[in-house]
Amino acid sequence: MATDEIINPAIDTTGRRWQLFQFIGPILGVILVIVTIAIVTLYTYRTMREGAITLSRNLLRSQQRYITEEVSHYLSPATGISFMASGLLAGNDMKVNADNFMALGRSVLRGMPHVDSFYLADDQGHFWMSTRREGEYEETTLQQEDGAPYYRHRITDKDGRFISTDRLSAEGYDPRLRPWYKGALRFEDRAPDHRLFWTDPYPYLSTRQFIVTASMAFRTLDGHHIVFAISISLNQLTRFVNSLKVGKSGQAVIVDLSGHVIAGHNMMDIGKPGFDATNVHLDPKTQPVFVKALNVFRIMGDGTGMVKARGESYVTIASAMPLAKRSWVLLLNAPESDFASFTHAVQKQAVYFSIIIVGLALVLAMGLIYQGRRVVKLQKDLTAVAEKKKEDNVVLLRITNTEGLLNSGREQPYFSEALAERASARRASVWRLLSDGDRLLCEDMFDRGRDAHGSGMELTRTGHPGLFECLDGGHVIDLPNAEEDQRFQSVQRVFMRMIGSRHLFFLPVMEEHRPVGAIMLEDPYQLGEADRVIMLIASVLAVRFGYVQEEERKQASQQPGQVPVPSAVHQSRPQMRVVEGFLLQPEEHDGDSRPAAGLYPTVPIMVLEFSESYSSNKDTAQAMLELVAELVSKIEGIAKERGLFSAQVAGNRFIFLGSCSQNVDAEGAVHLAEAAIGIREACLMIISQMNTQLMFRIGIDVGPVLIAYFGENNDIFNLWGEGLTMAEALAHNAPDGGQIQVSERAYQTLQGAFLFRLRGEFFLPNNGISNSYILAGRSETAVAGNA
Amino acid sequence: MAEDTSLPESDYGFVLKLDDAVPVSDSTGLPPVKYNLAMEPGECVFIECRDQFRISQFTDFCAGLLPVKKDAVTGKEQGTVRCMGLDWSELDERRAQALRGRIGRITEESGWIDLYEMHLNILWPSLHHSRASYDRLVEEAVHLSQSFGMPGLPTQLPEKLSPLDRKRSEYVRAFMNRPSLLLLENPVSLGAPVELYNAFLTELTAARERGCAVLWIGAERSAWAGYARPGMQRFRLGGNGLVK
Repeated sequence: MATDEIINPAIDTTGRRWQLFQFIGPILGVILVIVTIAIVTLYTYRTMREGAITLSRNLLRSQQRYITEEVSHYLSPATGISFMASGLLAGNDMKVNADNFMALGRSVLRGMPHVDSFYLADDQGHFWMSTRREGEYEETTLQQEDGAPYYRHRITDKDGRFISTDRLSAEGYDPRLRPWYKGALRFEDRAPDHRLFWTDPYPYLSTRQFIVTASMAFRTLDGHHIVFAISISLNQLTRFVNSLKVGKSGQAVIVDLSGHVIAGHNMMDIGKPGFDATNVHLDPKTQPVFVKALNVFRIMGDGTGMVKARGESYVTIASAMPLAKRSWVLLLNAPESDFASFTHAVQKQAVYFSIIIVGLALVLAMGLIYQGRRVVKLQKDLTAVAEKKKEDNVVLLRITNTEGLLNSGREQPYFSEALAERASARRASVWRLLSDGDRLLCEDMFDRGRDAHGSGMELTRTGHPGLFECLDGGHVIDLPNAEEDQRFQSVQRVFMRMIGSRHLFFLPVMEEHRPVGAIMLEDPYQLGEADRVIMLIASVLAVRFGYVQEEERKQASQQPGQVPVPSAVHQSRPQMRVVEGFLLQPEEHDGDSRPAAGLYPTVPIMVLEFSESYSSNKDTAQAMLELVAELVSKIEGIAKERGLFSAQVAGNRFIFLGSCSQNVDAEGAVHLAEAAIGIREACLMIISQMNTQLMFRIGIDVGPVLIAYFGENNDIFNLWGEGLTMAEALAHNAPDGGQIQVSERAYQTLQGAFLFRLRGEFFLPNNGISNSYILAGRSETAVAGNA
Repeated sequence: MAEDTSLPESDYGFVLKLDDAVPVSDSTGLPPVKYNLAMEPGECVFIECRDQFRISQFTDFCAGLLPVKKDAVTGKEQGTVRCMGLDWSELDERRAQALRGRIGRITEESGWIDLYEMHLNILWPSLHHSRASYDRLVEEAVHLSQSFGMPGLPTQLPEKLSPLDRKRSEYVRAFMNRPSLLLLENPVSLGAPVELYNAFLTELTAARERGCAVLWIGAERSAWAGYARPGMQRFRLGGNGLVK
């Protein structure tokens, strides 16, 4: 199965989606609450704001009506008195008319302080005026005195009693040329409501009043034109407008359509020396709200509006003033906040409350998620326990159903697989203590990463005293880093370094309080979950190994000195030929003739291959060479000792022939295997003492080999053939470093004398499916025989 | 809800298990009878059948493409077909397709897409189902191509290749991405060179060693005669279903 598949079909993702929903659901709920609160708050704010604005507009509208009414009252004497005058002063006798005019003027001036003066003129150039002078009343008549026109001033009290008189030259003055006279005549033919003519406001320098004059023309009974005019001071109108309160900080102003200010804030300085009241306009910089409101009025006419200025919204109202001059406009404004500020406060409060609610909702959501996670974790734990139980049961069932479970003669590779799988260990191995009590033989080991079995390795008491000390003591050892423990340092170097593992779990297998073997787990990830399986397998192994030891003991006591297999060192065998390269020098060996060229069908042949021995570093390479030289010396010694037929060096490979004869030479094969075990032990011992990655593998076959002689002297020995190819392939493909892989043919020859572990089936083009085996060690019977 | 994994069965159980399973089919194809078959990891099962249509339907049945028949009365499925511990009828389409990604197949009709080059035809299933890098997949495909006797990964359109190279490519596609189950319909033609036969058997053995179960279904038993060993299951697929 590919480990990097995108979708694992064994995982049902509907559960994962539900988990995701469990996590996201409460968060979505909180978000929903936040959105709802935000929408409700926004809606409430808008409703309240609109309500406040409507309210403020109504307020402004009523204020506007009030101001309009006040201004109308202020200016109403002009209309009323003018019409009254048109009836009162239309007699034929101008002297009577003048007297009436003066009485009317005095009476009005006495009662209406904002009325400044009255004018009366006819089409013959006569002119009368009534005004105030220093608390008294001045009646002015334009008349000819001493041949020149003079203003004759007659000062009276409030009842018209004469106080004094004086005159002032009126040279050049003609009332018929005055704007109020001309305007009145122009308006004469209009409808009665529109007959009153208003002049533009103008300052009256002598009294420092800002004056506007209303005039009306009418005819006397004899058909002469008479113009009556009334001047009203605007100073008091300005004071009135300025005194108005519009909201908290609103303002009012009366302007004409060109933006010229009639009354309002800009006219505060009216009456002061140097102030030019005729040239006061709305300032776009300081009064942008009024300017915009006036512009809107010019287009839209009367009405309310909203103006944005200076980063604030203003409610405005603009209206014409029909009872005053028609081009005058009353403008009012007030900041929206004056009326709607409470909505901001309410909104702020709503936000604070919302934050509190959202916080509480968040806490609740977190609690919900936490509880959900706890429930899921609990479910997971329960499921994990159930799974573990189920897996344990499957494994235990399989172990207990294994055929020949307690039969020590049957191999049980499933033990190491079950140990490795359940403990999630990189490698699990089962070791048997041989009857001499000094050697642990690896019965089986399973490399989970490579999915491969191995066996045959031996750990001796002399090489690993710490390990055997723990074994004898029956202590369970769990070392997170075996390299740091003195007792297991050598084991780490020899055994664990092959796969680079660090964590070691070591369990002695005890039978009746004596050690019979051990279980080793390397880099176990889930040691706790494998306890039941480990203990069961340890119990089974105890029975199996205990039985083997018992049998060996019985055998040793009943058949002392029996030698079931040939001795390791056969004195009668010819001495080994140590061959340099491919040369064979048979003449060096007395009584031995070199084999004839040709096909040898069953030659025991062994190939030893060193690997990972390359280095570009000079010192390392030198050290490596020294190590290899030492190894070669050992190998040569062992080969000689075992009486092998030949040994050849070819690069990083050694080729050994156990014998060379046309017939099957089981003895030669046994010597070859003995030599292989000896070489393995020696090499492992030397390598374990060095910090090196150098490793070796061995392959043994018994098969056909072609032997030939080449060269001028026909003395260059050469061999090739299927046997050599097979042995090389076996050495090259041995499952692990330090292992001896044996072909099926070699296994058939050696099976009585050695222990083997089946590695598996392999297909070879010319051989079909065949098995290969791992040579574990000497058979116990053979060892006992040798002993 | 905890994730529903079925470790025990997938790890320690059968790779393919037909348990009294009755396929939805009429009498012209796969007979609608009960089928029982159990294949453990690494096991090789041989089935002899001369009807090519029946062979295709049976492999489709094993791959979950041909559904299990439902009982007319109870509405329940008649039997189960489980692949690596997972019942095809219980898997949604997404998981079923992912599970099919673990199956290597050799079909009679090959199913090459002629619009695309052979290397894409070979790599597509692995690219679809796995996160393995393109380079790694190409490396594996090249290795397999060389094992089956081609100089490298073929990059021509399928129709431009010789029939023998198409056969080799079929092998490469089937063995790509280390399948857990191989469904092989007539994988060996007797006219093919012996080197190809040997290469096929070598890769087949290696796959079985890795734990891949193999269902070899073909018309000629002589095709597997050199490979079959005692103890391997052998069946005949006929009108009565699977017969030993």
